Formats: sequence, C-alpha cells, structure tokens
Amino acid sequence: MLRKPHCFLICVFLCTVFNLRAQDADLSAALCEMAAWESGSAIIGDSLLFRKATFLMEAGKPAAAYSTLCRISPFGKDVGMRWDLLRKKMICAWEAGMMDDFCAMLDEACAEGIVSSPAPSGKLRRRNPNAAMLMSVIPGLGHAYSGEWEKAGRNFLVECGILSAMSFAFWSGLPLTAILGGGILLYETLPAITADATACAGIYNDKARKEFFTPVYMELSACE
Amino acid sequence: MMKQTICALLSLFLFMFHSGASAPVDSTGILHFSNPSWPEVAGPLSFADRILNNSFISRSRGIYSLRKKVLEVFTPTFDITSSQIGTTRALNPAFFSYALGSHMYEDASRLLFAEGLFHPSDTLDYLRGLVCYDIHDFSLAYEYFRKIPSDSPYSVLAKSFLDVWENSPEADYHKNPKIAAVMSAIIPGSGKIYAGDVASGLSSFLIVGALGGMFADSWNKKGLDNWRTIALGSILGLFYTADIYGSYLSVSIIKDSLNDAQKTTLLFNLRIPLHSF
Repeated sequence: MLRKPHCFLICVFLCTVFNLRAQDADLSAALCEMAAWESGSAIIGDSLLFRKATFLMEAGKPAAAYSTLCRISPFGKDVGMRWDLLRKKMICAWEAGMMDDFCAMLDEACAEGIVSSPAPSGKLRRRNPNAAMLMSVIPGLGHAYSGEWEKAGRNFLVECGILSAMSFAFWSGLPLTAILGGGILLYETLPAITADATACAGIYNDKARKEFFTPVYMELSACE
Repeated sequence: MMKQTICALLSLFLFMFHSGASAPVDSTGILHFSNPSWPEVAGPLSFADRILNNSFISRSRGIYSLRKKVLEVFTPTFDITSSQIGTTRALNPAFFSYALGSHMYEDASRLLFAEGLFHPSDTLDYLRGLVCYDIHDFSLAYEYFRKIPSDSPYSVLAKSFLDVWENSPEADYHKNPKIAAVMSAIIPGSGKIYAGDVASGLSSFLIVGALGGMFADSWNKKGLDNWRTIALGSILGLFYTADIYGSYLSVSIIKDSLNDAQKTTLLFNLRIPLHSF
C-alpha cells in the first residue's frame, strides 16, 4: 500500500526522469543543429532541422521549435512534407502563443486542405484597451471589464480606503492633511491601476484569440 | 505625551540595518561578479527610501531603475547546464563560430558544456568562455579565459577580456556621501540631487514636504498630544530619516553604477575581437 513518503519519492523520481529527459531533448536538438551544419546538404539539413524542432517541442520550447521550422524552405518539397511542415509550424505557433503568425498561416492551411475552415464558428471576444483605461476612472472597473475580478476588488478597496481616509481627515478638521495625503496616495496609485487595466485588456485579447482557435489547433493535433 | 512621541520616534531608529558585502571571492581567488557590489540594506529605513525612489516621478528615471538596468546587463540570459554524453566527437570551431554568430547560444552552450562530448583543450575552454561572454555570464567567462595558457593561440584574445575584467578604470565621479546626507537633512531631497539622482530628489522633496505640511497642520489644529499628530510625526520622522540615509547611500550606488556602466561599455567593445578566432 502506497504511503505518503512513497508517493513523495515516486514524484521526486518522476520529476528527475522528466527533467533529465528534457535535458536530453535539448542536447539532442543541439546535436541535430550541428549535424545539419556538418552535412552541407540542404535536403539532409532540412530533415535534421525538422527533427530538431521535434526535440525542442519535447523540451517544452515551442517558440524555439517554431523559429527552427521557419528556417526550412518549403520549395522543392513534395506535398506531404509541405503539409507536415505547415501543420507543425501552426502547432508550434499556437503553443507559443504567437497568434499573429498562427492566423497568417491559417488561410494557407485552409487552401492546402489541412484544416476544414479558416475560422471557427462564433464570435471572437475582444476588449478595447482604451475603454479599459477610461473605465479605470472608477477604480477596479477597468479590471472587471477584462475579467480580472480579484485585481478589480483589490484596487476598488484600496481606493475606497484612501477616499475614506481623506473624508475622515476633512471631517476631523484637517483639510490640508486630507488634500496632501490623499493627493499623494491617489497620484501614486491611480496611474498604476490605469496602466495595469490597459495591460490586462491586452492579455485578455491574447487569451481569447487562443481559445477561439482551439478547435483548429485540435484538428491540427489530431493529424500528428 | 511629549516623551511618548519622542519614544515612538526613537523606536523607529532602533531597527538595525546591515550593509551588504562587496563582490564575494571564493577560496580559489576567483572574483564572482554575478551582481554588482552595491550595498544591500534591510529594515524600515530602506523600505521607506524605496517608496521615495519608486514614486511615479522617479520610477523610470531614478537610481533604482538605473541599478535595475545595469543588473540586467550583468544577469546571464539563461543558466548553463551540463549533461552527460557517452560519444566523443572532434571539436569544430567553425561550427561554433557560425552558431554564436547566428545567436544560437543555447545550442552552443548545450554542446560545449556536455561532459564527454569533446576532448578537453584550449579551444574548448576558449569557446566555453566565449559563449559565457555572449550570454553575459561574465564571472564564468572569466573562469574559462583564465585557464588558457600563455602559449596558446587564444591567449591574446583571452587576455583582452581579462585585462578589462580585472583592471577597468574608475569613473570620474567625486561626490561626498556625508555632504549628500547633510544637504538632505537641511532640504529633503537636495542630497540626492547633489549625488546626481534628480528624479528621486524631487520625489523625496515632494513627499517629505507634503508629510511635513500634514504634520504642521495637525499640530496647529489638534495640538502635539493628539494621536493624529503623533502618527503623522512618526511617519514624517521615518521618511525624513530614510531620505537622509538614502542620500548617503545614493552616492555609492551612483558611483558603482557609473563604474559598472563603464565596464559594460569596455566589455561590449570586445565582442568583435573575441569572435575573430
């Protein structure tokens, strides 16, 4: 019967094995690069670069795999190899979050027949960063617009605390304290909250675009 | 009540801070320059000084942002890891010249640091030092360039790096930290402006000045015995002292950052000569 120390040791063993495997995949990728250079042949070099990209994907580096695949020229290759190359590039671009490149290859993939349709059904949800910036006049609303509820709540409470402290100071008969202290705190916090809300809208758009094209990615992965 | 106020203010000064060591040297005498030798301190004074230096005015222009930029230059792009491999191959410097020229630093480092892949040689040490230089791991580059003997064909190139690393001149910056501290004691923030950090000095002046105004307003209307006056006085005392302390420290931080920036320029000028092997 497995006890907690056994489970812990198994986890440590598995992590060590996977870490070693990732290291081997990295080294294998580097060896492929060296072999591609030494071969001096474009055909052998391209196939070695393709293997290198596979190792890089195993090592969890889709961006590096994508840039390796971009070095392989599709010209002169037969249809099957071109399809494999395009499919692999799209998978790497999706996993690396490079959605601009993914969408740029989507039309070509549809024309080649690799994917059934250029865009999934449904509407792509988007958030306007300028709208998020304007909504941040009410602290937290800009973050709520982008779906960051925790940040929205936190910022709202912080600003309410500052305004409450200012009101208390006014009520206590210390207007100068209220203006100076509240002014400093609001000046330090409001621009940072606004900038963060704008950034959150950008992150939301990236995530939404990735989710929107998930069916296309699943179709591409099914052919692997 | 006055005594309580003084006790409250004095208690803030009792927090100890420690100054960090200079760059550590290990038992073999190798100077590890993984981070510039800037004093690291802890405690509420440091915390308050960081607030003064990280305000909206000085966040992107103050000495802490300058320090961050210099630290980025001296931070390796990635950590080099070595692995074991059974098969030995001949080392081809031409491939590594191509790989490093094409910015394939990860591939080059994986191959060069794989144990058992290449036989030990001057060429291997030089290439290891070169890839460490390219990824900004200058302390590790120093270790490998030091190993190259004087009769090796790579010794001249390695020596150019070692000369810069060990003997780079000091920047022309002669400010006295005590003067900076006294100036900040008289006018908050002026010591930092004297040291050269105008953005942080202005920020400190505005914040400490505003706190002083709040304290004076509360004292005038509520008296010295009121809890608001005591609280504002304590906060003012903390930031006022932190500003004096930060001004004293900023002179050494700016001097170190100028020295490091000078060393960075000299190191980057070595890129083309080091790659011409």
